[in-house]
Amino acid sequence: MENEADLISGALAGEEEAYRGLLDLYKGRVFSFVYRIVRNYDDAEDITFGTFVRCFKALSSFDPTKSFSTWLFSIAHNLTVDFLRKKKQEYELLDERLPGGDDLVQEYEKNEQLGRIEGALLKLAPIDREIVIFFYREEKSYKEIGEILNIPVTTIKTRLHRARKKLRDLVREKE
Amino acid sequence: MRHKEIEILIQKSLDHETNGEEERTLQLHLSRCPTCRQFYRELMQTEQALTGLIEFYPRQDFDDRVLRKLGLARSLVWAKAATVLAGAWLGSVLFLLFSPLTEEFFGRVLTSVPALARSIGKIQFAISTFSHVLIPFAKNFNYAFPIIALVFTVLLLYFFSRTTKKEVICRA
Repeated sequence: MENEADLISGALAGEEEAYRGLLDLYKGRVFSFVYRIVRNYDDAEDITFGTFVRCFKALSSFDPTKSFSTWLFSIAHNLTVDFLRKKKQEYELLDERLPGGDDLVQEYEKNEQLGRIEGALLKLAPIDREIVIFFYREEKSYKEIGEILNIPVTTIKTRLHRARKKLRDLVREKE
Repeated sequence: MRHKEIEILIQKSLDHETNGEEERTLQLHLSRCPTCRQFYRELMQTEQALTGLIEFYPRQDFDDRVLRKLGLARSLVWAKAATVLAGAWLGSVLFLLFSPLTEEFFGRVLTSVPALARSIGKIQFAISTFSHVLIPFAKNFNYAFPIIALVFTVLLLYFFSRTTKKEVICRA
């Protein structure tokens, strides 16, 4: 059972394998997204855990005519924003925390080119990081990103253009 | 066309929103302007790096923790319990078949606890009656029965060990 729609129907019927299938499909994507925003492995895992528990509990309310991943990411986004608020971290402004300290990032930054772009991403505000990840990593359209973040498409476009240019400048600086 | 206007066109192109005319204008300008060409190339390189970002994963027991939270991870617990029970069954069959102490040991227990001896006697009587009424061939008891039981035990253990292994592979 690999088809997403089949997995959702299976999960609604209470099949454990279907839940495992959905976790296999999405846990890496959701965790990577959250991790790139909160930059702490344990916190990212807690948020990802909460995302799947909330998603599976509310699965019966999911509209099958819509995108499951968009729905799932909107839950992850809401929990991430709640987490940042609790930690009193700015969501729309530049993240001033120092990068590093986390083994995963250090391991990742051994790859010079990927490390450069990862380091540059860190210097964007969390909201811009989310837009960039959804656009490039998750290949979401502006409309879908708008649904997840609950902001107008024009704002997303403006922010993405600015983020794109800033990332290019930051990568250039590091070269 | 000014550089600022070209930058807007480049962003539009990267959003895949340019029409044919705009794309031609952009390409013409890029072929003539090294500054804009360099800017465009660097933006493209940044895009490529972003699409190549690697995926991170939570810990290996993540799926089980989520399913346990939802009360769905029962099969693994059952598989483990069944393996333990099957192992205990096999152990007791082997003990009863091969231990020289068994008869003496049970004899001592039964003589020291008469109530237990009476209860076991009743159970034996019930089983014997049940067997003689419903299973005529029970009269012809021989060693084939414990051997068959042993074979079934081994098969049962093999089945549950496979189930447990499958669960472990799913989690990894």
